[in-house]
Amino acid sequence: MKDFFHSVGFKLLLGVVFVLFGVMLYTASAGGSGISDLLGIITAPMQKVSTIISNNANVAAENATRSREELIAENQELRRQIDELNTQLIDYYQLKLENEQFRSVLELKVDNQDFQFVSAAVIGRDPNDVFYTFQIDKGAAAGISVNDPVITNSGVVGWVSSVTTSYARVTTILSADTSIAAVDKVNRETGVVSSNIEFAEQGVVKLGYLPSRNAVSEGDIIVTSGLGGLYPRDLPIGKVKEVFPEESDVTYYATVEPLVDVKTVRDVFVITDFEGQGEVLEALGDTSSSQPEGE
Amino acid sequence: MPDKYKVIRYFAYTVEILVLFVIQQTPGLFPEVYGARPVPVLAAVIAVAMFESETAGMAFGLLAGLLTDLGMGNTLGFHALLMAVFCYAVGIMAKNLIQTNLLTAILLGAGILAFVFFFQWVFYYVLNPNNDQFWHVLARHYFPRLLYTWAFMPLLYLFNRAFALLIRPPAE
Repeated sequence: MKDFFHSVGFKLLLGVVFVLFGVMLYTASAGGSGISDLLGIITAPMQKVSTIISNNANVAAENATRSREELIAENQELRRQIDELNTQLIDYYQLKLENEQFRSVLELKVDNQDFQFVSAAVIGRDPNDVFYTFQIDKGAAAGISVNDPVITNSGVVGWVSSVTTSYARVTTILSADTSIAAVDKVNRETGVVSSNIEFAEQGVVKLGYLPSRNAVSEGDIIVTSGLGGLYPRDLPIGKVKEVFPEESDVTYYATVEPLVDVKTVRDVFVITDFEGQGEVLEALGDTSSSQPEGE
Repeated sequence: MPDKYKVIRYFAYTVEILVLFVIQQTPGLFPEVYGARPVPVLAAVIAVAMFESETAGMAFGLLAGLLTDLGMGNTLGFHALLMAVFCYAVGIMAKNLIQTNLLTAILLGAGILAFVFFFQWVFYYVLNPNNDQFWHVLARHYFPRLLYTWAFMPLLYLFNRAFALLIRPPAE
């Protein structure tokens, strides 16, 4: 037994334990390390290739198992949808013209000219995470930084929670660490979008802090309000499913179904810059040294 | 002069760990069972540690732990520390206390994986002030993940046993 504690292997183990404690303390305080960068440079390209192969195999398998009749039926349905969309397109152009006329009077901004985007692909989803956090194939080298919003064409996906040189980690809107200042597009009721494990399992988020007399109803579109400086305003988040009273106080909350399925999303955009980004954080920095995890 | 068979074997283990890590991170590759996906890289290094010295086991445990920390994106060193210590202990036990066979591999895998996922639950879920419903998450997420990962233990034991037996100097 005495020989065991005097053995070279045990001394090596003690050394490794002390070094790893130091690494843990450093990364917990500094939020990153060269080791993560180095491992990421090795594993990120492999993850990207593996994901591409897996995605192509899934698509090929889906097509291979479908019959000719199914493919013909799908083709006809898609043609019908194209016709329908063409009709809607005509209406859209008409509405767009009217909107431009109103815009000049009310000084509305339709397109977000101030956004700077980086497109990225999902290359990994950690099996140890319960909130569907994922990795993307772009990092600090592409201009991405922590707290950058992550979106798709449909709406908000989440925010960048950590970055290395070659990849970044995205925390989704289903995570308990996410909170987003939001507004009901229909009636301008404001609230905060957040989540917990119960909502995440159902694939919904919570719009909380609604006043007791609120006008939020099923089907309303919830968008970001832009308060806080972490998300630009008017990014779609989801649609209201139901409204409930809170158990602990007099406020209400609504369950909101996200417009983006964060569990299966494959391609995203990271907003690396927009007008007003970080303004509240800069103001907070004057008074305190800590930063919020979400908005 | 390092034993060339040992070098080849260690290289094979390293490639195995890297490949398993990439596979477990790939979206959609492993089907979800009750919402859980496996972490085979942890089971693999437990099997490796049964066939190698305690120092080599510790090194591979450290590598697998570092990769797991990288995948989770949290504090680097948490899983590395756990797996280094556990794999070192497995190496010592395999040399002095237990026989190396499928049954002991399954039992060791169950015990070590249970400890690792329990610590993961405590440090990464319970201690996060934004989280709640701790016992529900333990039963609904961490326990299925433990079982799914543990299910890979026999296969990975046999796979690494093949490495250990085939990549050796021929008996004189």
